[in-house]
Amino acid sequence: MLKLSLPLRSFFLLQLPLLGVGLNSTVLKPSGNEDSTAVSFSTSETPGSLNISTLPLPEVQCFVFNGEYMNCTWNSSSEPQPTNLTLRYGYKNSDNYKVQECGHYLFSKELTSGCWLQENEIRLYETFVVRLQDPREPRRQMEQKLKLQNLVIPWAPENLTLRNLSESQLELSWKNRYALDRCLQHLVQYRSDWDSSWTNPWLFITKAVLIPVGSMGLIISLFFVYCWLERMPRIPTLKNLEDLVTEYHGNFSAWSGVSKGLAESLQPDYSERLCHVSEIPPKGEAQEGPGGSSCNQPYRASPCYTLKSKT
Amino acid sequence: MRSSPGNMERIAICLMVIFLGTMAHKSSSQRQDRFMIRMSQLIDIVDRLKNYVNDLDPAILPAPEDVKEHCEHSAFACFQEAKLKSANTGGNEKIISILIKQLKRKLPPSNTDKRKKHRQTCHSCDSYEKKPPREFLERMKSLLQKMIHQHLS
Repeated sequence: MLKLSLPLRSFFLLQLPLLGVGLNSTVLKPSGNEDSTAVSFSTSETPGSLNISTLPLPEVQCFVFNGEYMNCTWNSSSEPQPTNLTLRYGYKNSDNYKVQECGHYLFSKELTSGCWLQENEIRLYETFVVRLQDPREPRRQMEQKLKLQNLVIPWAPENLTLRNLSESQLELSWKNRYALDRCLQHLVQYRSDWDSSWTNPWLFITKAVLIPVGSMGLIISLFFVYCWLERMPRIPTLKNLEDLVTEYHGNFSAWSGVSKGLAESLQPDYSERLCHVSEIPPKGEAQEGPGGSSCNQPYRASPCYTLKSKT
Repeated sequence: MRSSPGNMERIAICLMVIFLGTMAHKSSSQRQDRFMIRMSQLIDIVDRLKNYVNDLDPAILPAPEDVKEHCEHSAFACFQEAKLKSANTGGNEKIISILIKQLKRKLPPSNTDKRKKHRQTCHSCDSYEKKPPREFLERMKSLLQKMIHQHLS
């Protein structure tokens, strides 16, 4: 779910493109570097001559639809002669793999143009090896290795629901049909009638982070400024001096704006701790100190007391 | 001079308690997903390193692929131990060394670590095929994706 602050009067056209994945096949076209590598095998008896065995085979494109099934297709019309190409596939695991022929071909104009694989035949995190072959020329074949985890197309989210939380807040929620919901990331964009384009997601994220952080920083700064000002009372101007007599009746604290507590804290404290110190009696002389103390004591600790001056 | 009444101190203590309470709530909910957070960070680091692949030392490195089941953590350790380094050209040495250092941080525990008994049958790092840095990083990313999927399954 996502909570947004949006103008109520605008009609929201919400777009939910999946982050990095879409139904547009051009977005997911496997590249030669990352998702697939292709190796062609073909031989020719006469070097340089145009032989059918030297003609390249079309590239196979595979997509896993929501983890439920996979279609591997090729352009069957690219062949110079109508040919039912065959497809074999397998998974590479620990330096070896077994290939098996496609059990469910797809057809286009009565020619094989693809292969359909069901869910239990799909292993996303193992290298998928697919081999396309011309049955009339066994030497003419092409092998590709694919990373299926990068070729998954989840179904679009469903049941997009908008709930009006308040006058300026909308809550968006939706459901996914992908088995592992946490594997998906979503990008939400919106626009109103007055906007020419969808909101910039990075700008939205920036606003969602910077504004709260900036507000908190401003509040904390104002708090510290308030603390500082509280300890620095304002200096009363002389032209208001007559107000001290007429309006405040000599109440200096109220006239100056200094709180009573602060005024008391600024009063000087002349209190002082006084301690009596008695001299250590010479050795051998037996003298009794005040209070009947023992002669054997070399030092007598006297109590300290505080003398407070009256102001 | 005597200090002013403790209202300011009380306010500061209240704010601190609120702040710590917020942090405690956030950290407790994230503790369960520390592994997921780290894996996402590692994928991000690998993607960033791929931008500097031309500035990496071109030496081939052990790059596990299609590892046996339950050997994913062992294979990832091979990626971390590999001597991936900057080629000291192009002026990006500092950022590259920082990214490589982040790759080598120890992983948080995962729920798949319970199957440690299988690690003894996993291949050693030297037995894996060696690849140049670009392919090395691609295979590392694939392994990270597999480990994330296992963690979520």
